[in-house]
Amino acid sequence: MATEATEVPGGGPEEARRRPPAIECRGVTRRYAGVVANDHIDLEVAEGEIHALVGENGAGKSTLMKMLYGLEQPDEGELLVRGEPQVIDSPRRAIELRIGMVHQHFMLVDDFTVAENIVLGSEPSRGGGRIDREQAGRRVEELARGFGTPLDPNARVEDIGVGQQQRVEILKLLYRGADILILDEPTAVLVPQEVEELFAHMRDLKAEGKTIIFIAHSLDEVLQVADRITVLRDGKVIDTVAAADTDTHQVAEMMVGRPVLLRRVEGKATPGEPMLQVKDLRVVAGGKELVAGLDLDVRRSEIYGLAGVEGNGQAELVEALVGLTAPDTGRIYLDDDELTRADVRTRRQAGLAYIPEDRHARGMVLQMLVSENSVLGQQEREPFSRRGLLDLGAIRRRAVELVRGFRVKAPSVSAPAYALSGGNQQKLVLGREFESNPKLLIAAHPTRGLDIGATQFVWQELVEARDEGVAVLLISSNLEEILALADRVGVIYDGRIVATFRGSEATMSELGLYMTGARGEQPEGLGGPEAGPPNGREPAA
Amino acid sequence: MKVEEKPPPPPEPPEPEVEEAASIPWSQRLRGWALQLLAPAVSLVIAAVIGVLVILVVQQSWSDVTDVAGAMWNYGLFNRNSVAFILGRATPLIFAGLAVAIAFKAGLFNIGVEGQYAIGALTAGYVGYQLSAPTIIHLPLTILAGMAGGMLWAAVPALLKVYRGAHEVISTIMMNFVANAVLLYLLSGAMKDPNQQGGIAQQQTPDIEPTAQVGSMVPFFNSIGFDFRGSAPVTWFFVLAIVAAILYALTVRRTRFGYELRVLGTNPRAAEPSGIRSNSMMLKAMLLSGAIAGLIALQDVIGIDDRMKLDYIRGYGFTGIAIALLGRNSGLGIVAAALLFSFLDRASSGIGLNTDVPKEVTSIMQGVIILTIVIAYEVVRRMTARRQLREQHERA
Repeated sequence: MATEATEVPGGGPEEARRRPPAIECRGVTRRYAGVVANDHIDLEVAEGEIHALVGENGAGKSTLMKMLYGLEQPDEGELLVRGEPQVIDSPRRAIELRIGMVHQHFMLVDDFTVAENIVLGSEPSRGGGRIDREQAGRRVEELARGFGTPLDPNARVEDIGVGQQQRVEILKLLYRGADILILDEPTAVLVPQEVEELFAHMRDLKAEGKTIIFIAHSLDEVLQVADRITVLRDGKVIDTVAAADTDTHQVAEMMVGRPVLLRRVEGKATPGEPMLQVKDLRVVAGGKELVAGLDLDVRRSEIYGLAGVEGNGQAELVEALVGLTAPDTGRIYLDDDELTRADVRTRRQAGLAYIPEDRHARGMVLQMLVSENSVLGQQEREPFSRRGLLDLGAIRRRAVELVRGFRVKAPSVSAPAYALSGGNQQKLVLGREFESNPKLLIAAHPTRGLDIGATQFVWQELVEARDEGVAVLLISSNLEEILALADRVGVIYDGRIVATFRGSEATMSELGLYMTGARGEQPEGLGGPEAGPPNGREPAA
Repeated sequence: MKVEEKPPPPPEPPEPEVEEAASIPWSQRLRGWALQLLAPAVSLVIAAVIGVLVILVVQQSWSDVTDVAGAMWNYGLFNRNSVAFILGRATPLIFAGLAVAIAFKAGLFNIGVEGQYAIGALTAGYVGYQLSAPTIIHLPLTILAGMAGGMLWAAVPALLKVYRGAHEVISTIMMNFVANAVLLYLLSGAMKDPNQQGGIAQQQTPDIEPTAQVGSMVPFFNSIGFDFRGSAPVTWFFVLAIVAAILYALTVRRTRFGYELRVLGTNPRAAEPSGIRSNSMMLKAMLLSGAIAGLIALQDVIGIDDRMKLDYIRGYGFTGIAIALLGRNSGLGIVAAALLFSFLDRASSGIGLNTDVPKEVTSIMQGVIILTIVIAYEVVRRMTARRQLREQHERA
């Protein structure tokens, strides 16, 4: 403690802690319709530190950040900014308090230049309502020079990369004088090199005395850049720890809070012959190879877990497998039928079930009834329809089965689906796809947004499906989920599967290395379906 | 996977449970229906109030208000021929409402019903006067020709939409102009009745063969106790319109086609992953819409009159949009809305004949109904949603 005076100015959180914290939450509580999103949150963010906020989906991170930025109001508790209690009732107020937020989805005007975007809303004026473009350009250049690679103020935002767009967002905040920056999952949209650059920027900003709060999923990233980490779970603060004193395992356990779930669920069945085979699949969009010659097979009675940082081609791969986009090259086989060019209906008839990532938007029709939603995608099957006529009785019976079997809380199966809460809507979609008697089940983030009980239930169902002979392709950004369920794990990076492990042998840290590109492609010939020996990997550290 | 451990003949207890989960209590259901009826009722009341205000402003006398109300009531409903007039006038409006509604169901806004029925009237008229065959062949062919004409005109925007992404609102409006030009061109040229005399002859086709004509319903009504004049404008097309409305309702509710149509129309993003072929569905919906549109003018062409005239293209396509809106795209609702509009038309004649008030007051009321119904439905929708949300919380 006595050495802190020798630290670089504004450097250490230790030194900063003597000043009032930049942000302090005291007993902040926020309730939504029956759900406590934030339950008496106590949080201190010291000035000049990088503070990471981690937790599972639905743990309450975003709600907390929205309250700091004035998008939501706490029901109870107090927010202090630089030691003063404040009511932040709008983003405008937050900006006045020099708090800025970069949303996960950028709020930029594509047609405008970098400089125009940055000054938008507080443009330097030349009088008479005219914008002083020269001055704007100069100011932006000055700001940008402060950190990182130069940014062309006259480039149009639509022409620059995602990482650069993110810098534009950050510069926008700096231009408005923010010195407390909130970054909502800033790395989710970035490729690993861009993540490195972002972290360098964050360190530069910290050196200038800025305070950064960021939400992240990847624990390795968090440990790399954060000074302190606060873990949220179920709306409560579990703990705040110094990054130097902890490791991924400890944080992960705090996040999940249920070492039970980390236990692998071993299957009773042994994987059989390949059910889904994908050969040299390529999907090109906007001149970028999003899926770049990917080979994959999923066998009968097998859960294949696809791990990867979001945006590495998972979404495009799934769309190509389901038939929503046509691949540019490659072949897709399902149980010996070639389905490369088949449409969704043909694939569903061939035995495909699909749990979309965005299931409220793509998996159901909220205005239609629960019963009608419970056969969506199976509407042409008997007994739900015969010779083009619906059998409303059979449809209702199916709906009642699903509501009961999957513990969907619904007022009635004749109620519109929007009368169900989000989690229950999701259970309905999951149940429907599980019960469609599939050969191949593609489950994209099946437990995202579900509470712990429902998650465990879905895991159980996935394992049961596998034991009954279904080939399951599980796409998840939740590594615990993949490690707990998968018989084989593939890591997708930059549109290709760079490594394959046996599920029982994969470790989180090793997957992380491949996911972030820190380790290159596994040598050829390893990790195939027949891979016998332990894949020639060094034991996990 | 097990959903429940239920042997094929389920034991006693689960059965009522199924019922419980499957059905909404009657009290709740009644409240739901009452809410649904509330919206049109409220908008009718508002329309009446505004109608009264307009009369008071224009005429500045309360007695005119009572005169108008009396004329609407007595003439509109109880004049000797009023019922026949209302049913007859509602017939094209029902077809028009259904044509718009089926496209709506697929999420398409068919503004081209006007042009589609113009072409349908031309093709039906042509087959009607050109062909000679026994009734059993000629009449169905004529009606089918009308549907085919409407379908043809709807096919162009449908194909443009599916293959080129052209927005159907723009292309159907443009097709209306083209249809109008085609109509004028053919009715004053190739299809014009050569035997017409005089310099300012009407643009009309030769007479339709009697084998292609649909009879009046007046004898039928008079045989069951009505006393309509022989020329009262109600034909068997009214029955066809009712049948079409029933078929429409069954299609939407009870067929896979209707189910897929509704999925596509309410959430297109969910349609593709569910294996619904959006393009093919849009094409079919638009063609069906055009085919129904092709029936709109047939009562005039081969029912009441026996020739196709330029006059018979008179804005039903646009009224159909209002009818579909008012009837919430449901078969029953469309029939009710068409009858209401038809009644207001009839009542306006009564106002013109028996009062000093301009009969356009009913047009104002029609306009007000269309405007208020949108608001009223939205208010009811929010009320229902709020109630459901509340119940959801109570359960949670």
